[in-house]
Amino acid sequence: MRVNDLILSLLVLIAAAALAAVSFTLPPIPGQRFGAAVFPLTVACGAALCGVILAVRALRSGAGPAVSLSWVQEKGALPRVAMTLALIVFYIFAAPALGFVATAILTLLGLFLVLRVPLPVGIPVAAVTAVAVYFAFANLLRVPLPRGFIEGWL
Amino acid sequence: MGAIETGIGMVLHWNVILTIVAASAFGLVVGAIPGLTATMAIALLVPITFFMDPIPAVGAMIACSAMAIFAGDIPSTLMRMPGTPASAAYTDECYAMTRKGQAQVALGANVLFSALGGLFGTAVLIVSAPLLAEVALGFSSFEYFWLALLGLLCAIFIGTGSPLKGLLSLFLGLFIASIGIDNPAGVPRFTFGNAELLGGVDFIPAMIGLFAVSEVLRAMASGAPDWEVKQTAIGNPLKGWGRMMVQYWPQQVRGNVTGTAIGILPGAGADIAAWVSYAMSRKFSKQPEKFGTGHVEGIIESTSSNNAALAGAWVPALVFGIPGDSITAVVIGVLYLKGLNPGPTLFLNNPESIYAVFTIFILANIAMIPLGLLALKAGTALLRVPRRLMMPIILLFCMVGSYAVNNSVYGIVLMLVFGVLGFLMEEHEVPIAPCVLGIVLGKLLEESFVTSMIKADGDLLAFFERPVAAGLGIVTLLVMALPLVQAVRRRKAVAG
Repeated sequence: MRVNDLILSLLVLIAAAALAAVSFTLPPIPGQRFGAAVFPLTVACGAALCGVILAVRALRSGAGPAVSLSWVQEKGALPRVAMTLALIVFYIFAAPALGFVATAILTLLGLFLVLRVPLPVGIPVAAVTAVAVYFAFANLLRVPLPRGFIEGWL
Repeated sequence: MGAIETGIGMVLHWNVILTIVAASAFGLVVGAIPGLTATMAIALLVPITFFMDPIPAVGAMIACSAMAIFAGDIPSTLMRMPGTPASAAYTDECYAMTRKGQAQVALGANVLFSALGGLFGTAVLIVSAPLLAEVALGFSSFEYFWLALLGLLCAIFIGTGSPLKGLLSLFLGLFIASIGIDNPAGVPRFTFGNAELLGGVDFIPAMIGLFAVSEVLRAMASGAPDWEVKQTAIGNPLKGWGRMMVQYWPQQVRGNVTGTAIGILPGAGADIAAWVSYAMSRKFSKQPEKFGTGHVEGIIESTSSNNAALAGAWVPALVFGIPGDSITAVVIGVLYLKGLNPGPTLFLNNPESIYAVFTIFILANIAMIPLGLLALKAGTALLRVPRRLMMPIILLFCMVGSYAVNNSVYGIVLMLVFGVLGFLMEEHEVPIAPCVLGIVLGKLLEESFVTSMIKADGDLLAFFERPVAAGLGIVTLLVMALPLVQAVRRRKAVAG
């Protein structure tokens, strides 16, 4: 799913204006002419210039449809991407409560289901992967992965 | 001699060697899987290198990237799908050889000339880096400002794709680098009161998001169908090595030299080197009509070139702390974390580490031949691993890796944001590499710019007053003018 270059240039110009507006509020270094605002202001000006050139080019050569759907039209593509993002968010919120292994198994299983992996294959692969990753990171590399009820047994 | 011996000694430990072998195997696997790039291999490796001593950590990254760049040739030969972008230039040529039943010749050439190209690049690195470091000791903020700017511009104007969208990507990266309190004024910027953002955007979760998560999202969108692997039998890849070495030595040397030179150029890396070398090979060939029909000449030149570029890219990375490509961009971050701050003083204060790096480069490129031959045998099996199982597992690694950076879920949140950003950028044909270079070089660019402006009291001409700075400034302005000249030429051609 993509927007055309004209809309993209508008977004760039809005972002550049916002960046410049926030930059003006940054305090200067006392006694100096150049401080925290110089660099972001330069970035905002550069981005705005790119935005203008992009817009001029798009207007000249015809911008094409405002939104082209590309992969979104493929059957099931949008739900698959949405589910993937949702499962990452699920991991972020669930891991501290459920512990790493349980959350990782559920996340992997969710992703396998989205990709239509048969459960008899998905369940063992998810379980083995989650436990192996836990051992590698928590035991060997000493990463304090969140602990839950399963980790107590390992 | 003391430092050289100590450096070599630091590498010849069983744990360092084992790390290098394991990282090589990892690089071979990731490089051989289409869609997963050498930079992604490095980004996924970084969280693990946190827990290593500096030398094995650097060794792992060198070996992993060298193997990944070579391994990209395997699927490109067998399936016409480049494993890494650095193989894209000669994918059609390799596949044409496979269709003629000469897959083993193409793959054999890829192993041999990748290793030789890497060794050539290493030789140049060993000779030139210490010399350049001596020159760099006299550099001030003015020279560093131009070098950083030159690196960023090279990535945009010499790379493939639209320079305008490359510039947009760069500005995005520079903005991301300016988030946090770490700036010349020490003022919190764009943190919106968030304590986590005060320390800035961690570059590792950002990198994992941009390179790996965006690729996983793309695979999920397409339902991660398995690849069709047709060619199964690979003959003896050693066949014809002697003949190729004798017959095509000029191509090999030219590929080595071009690759190393492009690698040294800040901002341009292995992919660009391969494209340039393939085009050069065709231009200077006595049989240009054979190109595209399965002719090994162009393959030799460009496969030498992309591996030579990899070593070349370390020259500006070690000497100036300015990445030669997106891989060294990640590596520089790790060097800082390990206390091996890149820059000319590293050569003065820590020469043994430099020699250790050189030793690893030599070892990794020699090891490429046996490991590469093994990988050819395993190659087709590897390509049969179901992607529907692989992609979710890669995503789990991304999450654990991003978490491990600070042991906080903030890393995973960053990874998610950058994953979506990278996915959307690719959708709109906005290249990712300039953004990454912007994130890495942003701080250096700002610091050298603001310091120089304060020193010169706002006089822009001061940027041209010192001889080296003036030279670098003029080169930078010429690179900037390049697209304008091209546009004028194109218009003239159209008018004519």
